[in-house]
Amino acid sequence: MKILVPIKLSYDINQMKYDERTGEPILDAVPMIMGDMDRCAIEAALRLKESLGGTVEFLSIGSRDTHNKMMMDAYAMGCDKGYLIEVDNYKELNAYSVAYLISKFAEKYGPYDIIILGNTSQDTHSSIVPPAVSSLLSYSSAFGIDKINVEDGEYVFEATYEDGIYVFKLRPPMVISVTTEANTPRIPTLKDILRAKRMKYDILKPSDLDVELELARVNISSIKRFATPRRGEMIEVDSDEDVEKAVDRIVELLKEAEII
Amino acid sequence: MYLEFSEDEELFREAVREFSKRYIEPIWVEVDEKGRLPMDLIKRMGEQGLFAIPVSDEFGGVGGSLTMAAIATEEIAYHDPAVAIAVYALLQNGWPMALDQFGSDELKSMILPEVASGDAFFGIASTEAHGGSDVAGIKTFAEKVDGGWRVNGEKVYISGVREVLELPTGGGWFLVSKTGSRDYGHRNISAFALVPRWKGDVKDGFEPTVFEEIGRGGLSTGGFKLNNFVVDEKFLIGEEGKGFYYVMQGFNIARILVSAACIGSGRWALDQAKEWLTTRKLFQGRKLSSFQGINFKFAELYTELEAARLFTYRAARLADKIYIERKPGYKPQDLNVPVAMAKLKAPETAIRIYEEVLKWFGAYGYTKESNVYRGWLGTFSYVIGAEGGQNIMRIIIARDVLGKENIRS
Amino acid sequence: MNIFCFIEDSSWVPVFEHFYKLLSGTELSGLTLSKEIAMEVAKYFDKTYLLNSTYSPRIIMDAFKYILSQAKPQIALFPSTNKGRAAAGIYMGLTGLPLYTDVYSVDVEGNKFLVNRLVYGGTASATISVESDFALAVLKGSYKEKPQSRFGEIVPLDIEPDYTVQFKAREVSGNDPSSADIVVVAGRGIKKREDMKLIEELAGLTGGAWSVTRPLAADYRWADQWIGISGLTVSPKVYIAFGVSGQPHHLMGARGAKYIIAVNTDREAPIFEESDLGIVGDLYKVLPRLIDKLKEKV
Repeated sequence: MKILVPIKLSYDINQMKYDERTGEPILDAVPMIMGDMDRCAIEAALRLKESLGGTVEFLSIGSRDTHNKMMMDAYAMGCDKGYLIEVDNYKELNAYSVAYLISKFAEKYGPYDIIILGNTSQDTHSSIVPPAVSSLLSYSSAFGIDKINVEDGEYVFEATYEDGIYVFKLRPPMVISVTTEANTPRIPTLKDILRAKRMKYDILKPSDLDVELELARVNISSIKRFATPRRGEMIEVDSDEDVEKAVDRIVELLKEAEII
Repeated sequence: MYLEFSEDEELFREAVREFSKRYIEPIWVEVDEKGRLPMDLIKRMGEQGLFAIPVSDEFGGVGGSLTMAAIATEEIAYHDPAVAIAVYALLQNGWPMALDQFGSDELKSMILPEVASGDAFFGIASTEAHGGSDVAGIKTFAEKVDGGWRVNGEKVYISGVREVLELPTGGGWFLVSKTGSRDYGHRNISAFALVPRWKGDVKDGFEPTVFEEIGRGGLSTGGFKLNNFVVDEKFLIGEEGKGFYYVMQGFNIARILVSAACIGSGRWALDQAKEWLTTRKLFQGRKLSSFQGINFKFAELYTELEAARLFTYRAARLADKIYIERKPGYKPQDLNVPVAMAKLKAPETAIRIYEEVLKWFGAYGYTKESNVYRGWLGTFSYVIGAEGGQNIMRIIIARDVLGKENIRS
Repeated sequence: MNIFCFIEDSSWVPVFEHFYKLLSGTELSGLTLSKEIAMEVAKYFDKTYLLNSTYSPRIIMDAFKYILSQAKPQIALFPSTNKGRAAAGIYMGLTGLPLYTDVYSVDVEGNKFLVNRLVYGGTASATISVESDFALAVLKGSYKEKPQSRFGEIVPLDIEPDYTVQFKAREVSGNDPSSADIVVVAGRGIKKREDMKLIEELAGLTGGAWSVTRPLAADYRWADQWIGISGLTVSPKVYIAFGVSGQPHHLMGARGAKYIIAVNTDREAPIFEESDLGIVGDLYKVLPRLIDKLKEKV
C-alpha cells in the first residue's frame, strides 16, 4: 500500500504576536511549525503501514530554507520518502493552487492508495484542501476523522460533526483528513532524528508536474488583530461578601442581556 | 563563539519539550511532594532515548553528543524545575559517558545497554564523610585479592541508592577507591564499576541507607557501607591508579549537565515571573513590570542566565570535540576552566533568579501553592556542592589564570 | 449575481439571506439533503435541489457535478461547519474558484468585494479583495433579517443515495448550544462529573443550554460535543464559563457571544482577557450562590 501525506508549514498560533499600536501581526517573530493535525496525519499513515505494510511518502510545498527542518521531522517520525515542491512566496498560494499541486503530484508520482491530510492547518484552519484534492482526483473521501479502523480491506472512519456521528466505509483509492482526536503522534527519538538528518528528499518545481497555469495567490489587503471590545470588569473573590458582589454583578449582566 | 544550534539539535529540543510536556510537567509537583520517581517514567525516558545520549551506539547508547545531552537536561529541567527528574536524566548521561570513555568493552556491553533502556542506574560514588571536594583524601580501600578486589569503606550523599535497589536490573556507581596504599594523594586512586545489584539480589557486603533531603524530591540520596564487598577484576575501570584522572573528567562532563539543569529551571522561574510581572497590577493599575526597580533587575537576571547558557553550551561543544569527535589537538584538561566557569555561573544564577522571583511573587511566593520554592530548593543543591563545591570551581579558574605556584597558601 | 448555497439545515436561511443581499444577489438556489428541510427552505429560494440521502462527500460531489452541469453560479455560499467546509472544498476542487472560510462579513467597494475572515485561531481578521466568481464559507452570526419569500421549485436530483454511510444523530435533549440565548460552559475547573448538575441547573434556570470544553468531552466523555474550533461555534447573548481557562482553540468557538462572563481561580487564565465580567474565585462558591439567587427570583 502506498500512502501520501501532504504537510504544511504553518504559523504557531499559540505564539502569535501583534504590534500593539497597529494591531498587525508580527509574522517574522512567529515560529513556523508542522501543524498538530498534520502530525496526526503522519501518525495515522505510519500506523496503517505498520499494520498493513507499504510505504509512507510525504509532500510539502515551500522553500528548502524554511522547510528543511520540518522535512527532517517527518523523516524522524518514520516516513519513507519526502518530496518538496519549490514555490516562491509559498505563503501566498491560495487553497486551490495547493490542492491542485497536490493532485498533480499524486497523479504523476502515484497512484496512491490513500492520501491522508490534517483536517485543518494550524494557521488558516479552513479544512478545504483535503476535500478539494478528493474532487480533483475523483477519489472517495471522508474528512475530520476521529477514529480509523480497518476491517477486511474496508476502511471504517468515524467523524463527529455538529449534528452527530458519521461512519464512512471506504475502499482505496481515497483521500481522508484526520483531527487531533485520531491519535497521539509519536515523538521522534534522538536516534530517529540522527537517522533523518542523513535522509534526502526530492525537490521539484511546479513545471515538473506539468502545471502550466499560473498559481493563484491570495490577495490580502489587510490583516489585523481581531477582538470584540470587552468590558474587562474584574472582581476578586476572597470573602463571602465578595461572592455576593460577584453574583449580583452576574445577575445584573443577565438582566442587561435580557436573559432574565 | 556564537551559540547556534543545528536543525537536528533544534528538532531534538522540540522532541524533548513535547515529551516533557506530555509526561513530566503534569507530575513534577507530585514527584517532588511524594519524593518518588515513578518507575514507569524512567522506563519511558529510556524508550525515548533520553539516557546514554553521548554513549556510542555500539554499546547501546544513542550515539549523540554531550551538547544533545545538555539540551535534553535543560528542557527536562524547564518542565521539572525542582530538578529531580532532570538530575536523574543527567546522571544517566554523564556517568555512562564516563564509563564509555574509560571502561573495558566487556564492562560497557554489560552495563550501558541496561542504563540506556532505563532498566538500570549508573551514577557516581565519590563523596565520603570527611568532605566531598577532597577526593585525594578518600578512605575507601580496595585490597587486591585473587581474581578481584575486596572493598571496605563508606560513601555518603550518593544519588540513586533507592533506584539501584528498585529498578528492574539494578545498577551501581562509578566508584573511586584507594588501591595499593592508603596514603593521601591521587596516584593511588582507582575507579571501579560498583554494581551491588544486577538482575537479582543485593550482593553481600553492601549496606545502603537513604537520607531525607529538603528539596529535589524524587531522586533518592543516601549512602552505603562496603563491608568486605568483593568486586570482580573485570569491574576495574581503565588502569589501576588512574581513577582520579578518570573521575575528574567524569566530573567535568557531569558539571556541564548540572549547569544545563540549572539553566532550564532558572528559565522556568523567569518565565513565571514574566507572566506575573506583566499581568499583575498595583497602585491604580500599574503593571509590576513598569517599575524600574523590578524591570532593571529582570533585565540583569535575564542577561546572567543567557551568560550561564553560553558558558554551558560552549563547554559542551568543547567536550564533544574532545570525547565524541576526538579532534586532534583537543585535550581533556582544556575543559577544566570552561566547565568550572559554567558550573560557577549556572547554579548561582538560578538561585539568584529564584530569590528575586520569590520576592516579586510577594506573599504568594511564600505559599506552597506557587511551587516556585520547589525550584529554589532543588537548584540550591548545586550551590552547596553536588558535583563539586563552588569554591573548587574558583580554585580551578584561579589556578589556571594566576598560575598554580601563585595561589599556593 | 447568481448565488448557490449548500443548506445544511434551515437555521442557515437567514444567514444566506443576509449575504445574498450584501452581495447583490439576483437569483438564489440551494442544495438540501432532506425532504423536510427542502419543504421548509423552498419558500425562500428560487430553486431548491433535493438529494434525499445521508450526507457523505461522495453524494455532495455527485450533486455538485450535476448542478454545475446545469448552471454556473457566480457565487457559492457554504456554512463554516464541518460538512459545510467539506462541501465547499469539494466545490472548489470542481470549479477552481477561490474559496474563503470563516467569513464574518463582506464589504462592497465598487465592483470589488472585501471579504473579512478570521485567521490565526480567530485572533486576527484578514481582509481579502475578490471580484466575481468565488465561494465563501460563512460563520453563522445572528442575523435577524426576515428572508424574502420566493416560493421556488424543488428539483429532486436523480442520484443514488449513499448507503455505506451510517449516521447517529446527536441525542435531542432540548440542549442546543447553537441556538440558545445563554450558554453555560464547564471547563476543567469542574472537578467531578456529578458537578455537571450545577451547570445544567443554571442552564435550566436561565432557559439556556450548556456545553463543555474539549477535554471534558473528548477525554472525560462527559458530553458528546464541545465548544471550540474542532467542535461547536456559538453566538449566544451570554456565554458564561466556569473553570474554563480559555485556550485559543476554545475561544474561537465562543467569540461570537455578546457578553462573556468567566469564573476561574487562576487570575492569569487567558479567558479573562476576553471577558466582559471576570470573576477570580472559586466556582464552587460562586455557582451555587448564583443558582440560589436565581431561584429566589423565580
